[in-house]
Amino acid sequence: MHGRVKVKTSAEQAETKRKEREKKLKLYQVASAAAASKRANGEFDKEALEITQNILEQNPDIASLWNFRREILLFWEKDRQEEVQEVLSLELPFLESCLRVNPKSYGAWHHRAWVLVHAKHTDWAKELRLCGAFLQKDERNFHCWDHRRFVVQHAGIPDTDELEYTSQLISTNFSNYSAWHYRSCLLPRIYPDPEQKGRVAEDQLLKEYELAQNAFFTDPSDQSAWFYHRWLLGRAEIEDAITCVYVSKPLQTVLVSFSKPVNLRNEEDEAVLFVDSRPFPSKWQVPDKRSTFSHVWVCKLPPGLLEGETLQHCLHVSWKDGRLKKECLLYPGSKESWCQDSATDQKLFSLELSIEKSSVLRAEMDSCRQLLDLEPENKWCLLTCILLSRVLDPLGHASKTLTWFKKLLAVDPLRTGYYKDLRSKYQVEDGLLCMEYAETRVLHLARKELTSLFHLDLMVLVTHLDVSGNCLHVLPLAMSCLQCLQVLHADDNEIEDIEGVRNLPVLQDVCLKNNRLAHLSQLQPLTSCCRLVSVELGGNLVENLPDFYTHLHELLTHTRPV
Amino acid sequence: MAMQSLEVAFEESENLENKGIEEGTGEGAVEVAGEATGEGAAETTGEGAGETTGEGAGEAAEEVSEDLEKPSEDQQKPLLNREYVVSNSRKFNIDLAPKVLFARGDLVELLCHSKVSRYLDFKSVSRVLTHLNGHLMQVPCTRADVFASRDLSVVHKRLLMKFLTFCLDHEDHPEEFADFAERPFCEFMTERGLTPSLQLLVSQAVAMVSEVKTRTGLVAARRFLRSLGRFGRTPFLWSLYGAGELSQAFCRMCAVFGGIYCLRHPLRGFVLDRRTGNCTAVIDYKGHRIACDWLVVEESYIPQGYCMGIRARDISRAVLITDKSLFPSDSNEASVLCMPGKGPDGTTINVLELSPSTMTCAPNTYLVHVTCPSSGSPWDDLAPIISPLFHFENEPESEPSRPHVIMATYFSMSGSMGDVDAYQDLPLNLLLCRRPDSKLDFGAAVEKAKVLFQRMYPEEDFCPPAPEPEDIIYGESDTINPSEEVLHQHWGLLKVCRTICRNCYWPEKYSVHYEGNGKLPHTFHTMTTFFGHTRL
Repeated sequence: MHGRVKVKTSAEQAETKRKEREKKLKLYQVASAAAASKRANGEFDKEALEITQNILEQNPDIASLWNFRREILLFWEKDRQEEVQEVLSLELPFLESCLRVNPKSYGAWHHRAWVLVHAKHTDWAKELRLCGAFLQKDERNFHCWDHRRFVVQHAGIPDTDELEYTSQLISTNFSNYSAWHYRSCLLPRIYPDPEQKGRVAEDQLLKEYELAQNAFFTDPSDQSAWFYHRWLLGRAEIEDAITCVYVSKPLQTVLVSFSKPVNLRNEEDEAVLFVDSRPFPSKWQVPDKRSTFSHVWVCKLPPGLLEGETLQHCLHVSWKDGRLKKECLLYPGSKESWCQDSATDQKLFSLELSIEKSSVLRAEMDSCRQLLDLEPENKWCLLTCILLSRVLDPLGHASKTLTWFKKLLAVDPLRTGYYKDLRSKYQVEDGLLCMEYAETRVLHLARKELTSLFHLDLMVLVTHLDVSGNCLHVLPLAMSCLQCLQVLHADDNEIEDIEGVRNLPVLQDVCLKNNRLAHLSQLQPLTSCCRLVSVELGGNLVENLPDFYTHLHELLTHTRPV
Repeated sequence: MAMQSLEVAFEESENLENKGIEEGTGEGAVEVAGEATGEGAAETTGEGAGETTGEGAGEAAEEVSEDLEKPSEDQQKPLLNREYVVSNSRKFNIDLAPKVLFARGDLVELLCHSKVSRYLDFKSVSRVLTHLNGHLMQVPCTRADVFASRDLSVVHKRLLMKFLTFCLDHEDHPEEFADFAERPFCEFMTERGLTPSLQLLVSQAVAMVSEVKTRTGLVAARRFLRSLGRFGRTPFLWSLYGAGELSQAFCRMCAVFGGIYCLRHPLRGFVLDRRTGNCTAVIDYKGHRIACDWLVVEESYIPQGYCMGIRARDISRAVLITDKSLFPSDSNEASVLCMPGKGPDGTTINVLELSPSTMTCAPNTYLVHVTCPSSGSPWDDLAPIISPLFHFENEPESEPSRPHVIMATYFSMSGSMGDVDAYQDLPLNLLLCRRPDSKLDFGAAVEKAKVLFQRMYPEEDFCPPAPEPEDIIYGESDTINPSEEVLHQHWGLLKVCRTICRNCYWPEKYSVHYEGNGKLPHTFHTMTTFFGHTRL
């Protein structure tokens, strides 16, 4: 074996390593104990700083030790100002080395921010460079992103510089979702849309569309640009509004619906009802009798208030100190009356995407369809085509949209539920639009493969609802918004839960044939419908129960189920 | 005499290093460079050849001392002329076989695995250029480049990306190109909807081929694409101080574990055993007989009689020193430009432009290597490509944007015979290495070296990882420190390595490798032999 290089065996290596680790552990334990005892004894001295520094250098994740260091510095602050500043200036390079050990150390980043604020002379520009360096190593280090925002805020860095920074990051790697997201925060601040809160002015928006397009044409399977694109298409914040006021004479009820769920019991959100210009001490209730927040609120009027066949009554609801209001006139001789915002005028469903000039969106649609020709199986592209067609002309693109959904369900089976729900939502929207165009209160949603019901708050005035032949499992609690509903057809679904029919005051006919109702207890919500005339339950398991009809009669003494 | 002044120069330059005046060079790297240049330059001056670098050796020492006195003065951009180049000649490392590494190529894997990489520094080639529709443009080779490119429309971006993705996985979908496999690559690209300019982009810049069959084109494109995203923005790595560093590094690892190199021992002849036909020894220039079990030589050693008479294709080369980059931009450390050759056989002309940060040329200058397989004289082959890109001294100043050529040389080099089959009746223990080819990268060098090594030592690992310094046990060993005497007794294995390039009238340079009993050295040496010492 002359001349051969002698090398330690792996056992020897392991032994050396083990010894080293043991030694390290011992040192670590001794130091930790020393730091803890110093803290307990209130020995806020230089040595304590040294001990904690030694430990933190190895493991920067011990929050208690960082706390101890801050305690020491705060303790010195009163009479040893200069020394504190000296330590603080040395703290920065020390922290940098800690962050190299663990770039995602909560304690170290937090301490760094604390030091920067407490130091007298902070070089913010240098700090920003540090953030840049760390983000270059790991572009999705959210600790560093947070720190960067903190630095930007304190250093007064203009938003435009930061936008430029995101452009630079995106050009190096457009899968950097953090950078896209940061962009979406900066743009509305730099180029605010004069009309829509939280949106971006059109000129800039066009440039952003181009950027996103470049990304998804380069790599259509990368989701970050698609998400950003969806944000670009996104809606403005929904503004507070009263969307509908309805009054029913026989029921002695006033019903108000809002653009988003509100809590009228909250003092600042109080709504005041004026009946014939006199404030009425109203007691608002939610239709389901359970929720705190609701789109729809109901107020019982005392008998006699709307008396007089020949008198016209004016119902006026004032909200947010009178800034928002709506009124509805009950003409002589009529039993009910309402005042409702039109879904088409308000572009309620287009709101899902913002109200940009349609030419821009049409151009977007063209390029997405071009991409779809190249990538017929790309789910992001399919979905974006659907979203765009919804904004542009929902009813016009209805059949195309259904084809795209079919394709989407085939290419991305993992998100079947999501796509089906989304399709249901659009089907409901289309149904609502058709109903509005026909100026009826009858909503046809039969055989549309619905998996879920949406926009129930917009169905306040609906008297007839047909959802038969769908894939519904539940009549959801939110159906209690349908306070005018008289006839409900829900045959041929997979319904197991009819909680939604509870407390529907004028519901007369319910068809629930061929569903999955198996127990009498599932029918219990029907007992609260006091005007129920007929219930059809054929083709449900519940029918086979012994003495089912007897039990049902007991349950619903005032109905005649078929 | 020239030798002396060179040595002075290196001592001085090491001083500079220690004082940290020259920036951006690691200590180890500089040391290696010193040796490398020392060797090459010494050869050059000794033989009186080498127009480009040899002359300025004497002035180098003076210049260094001037620098020491007034270090601030060369902040200003100096007048870039012949005198500047000559007086800075020690800062030029001009490879005879300049080559880049594919980031995921065999060589990189071998360097990492064997830990020879510890002796090397690399820079990522910063961009790949192409000549499209009469303009130079940067090839968008990564996703990020395609995204940011302003030269492509979004639809073209999609077509390009889609095609490149296909190239990368084409082996998994043989049915998609089966009909085209033996037909021209461009037909396949047309079928895939690529526009003519996209086709040029793919074939010239990504596959780096001219007119080839689809199968070849796809393989070439895949090799390029596979190496993306590992280091930097392009698939290529450049070894600092030049491609010749690679053989230096393998030599060094070999020497660290006991290999011995005898430099400047030209061979005079081989001794063959009449009975077996094996080569039993070589005779060096002093008449020493050196016995050997195996002999590994580069093919130019083989006497004419063994050759079957096939003429190897030569390589046309040009080396230019210019004053600025072909395509000035923020990052132009090193650029690769691949252009179709004028021959009908699908050859390409490779242009490699190196900036001072690659440690191959003096500040403010650029070193340009142009290489292609010969069709005619180097001038005929290369001038049509070179003259439109650069501005020569005597030309009228028509386009001020072109780089000025400060110095240029055209020459040709012997190409490889290609296969070992080209030789007949060779001794069985004589193994042949090829000469460097005209390709941009090292090609199959690692694979070939491995084959040779396994023929000699079928039981041994090829370039096993070198042990870490801390794992080596010192003191207990009875390692021989071979004296001259021992050396003669143990000529167990002899390997010979010679520089290529007869056409440059290169002195014959050998290194003789002494093999101790340890088996580590010879494996590294096999690699060394393969790269040759290929620096001017």
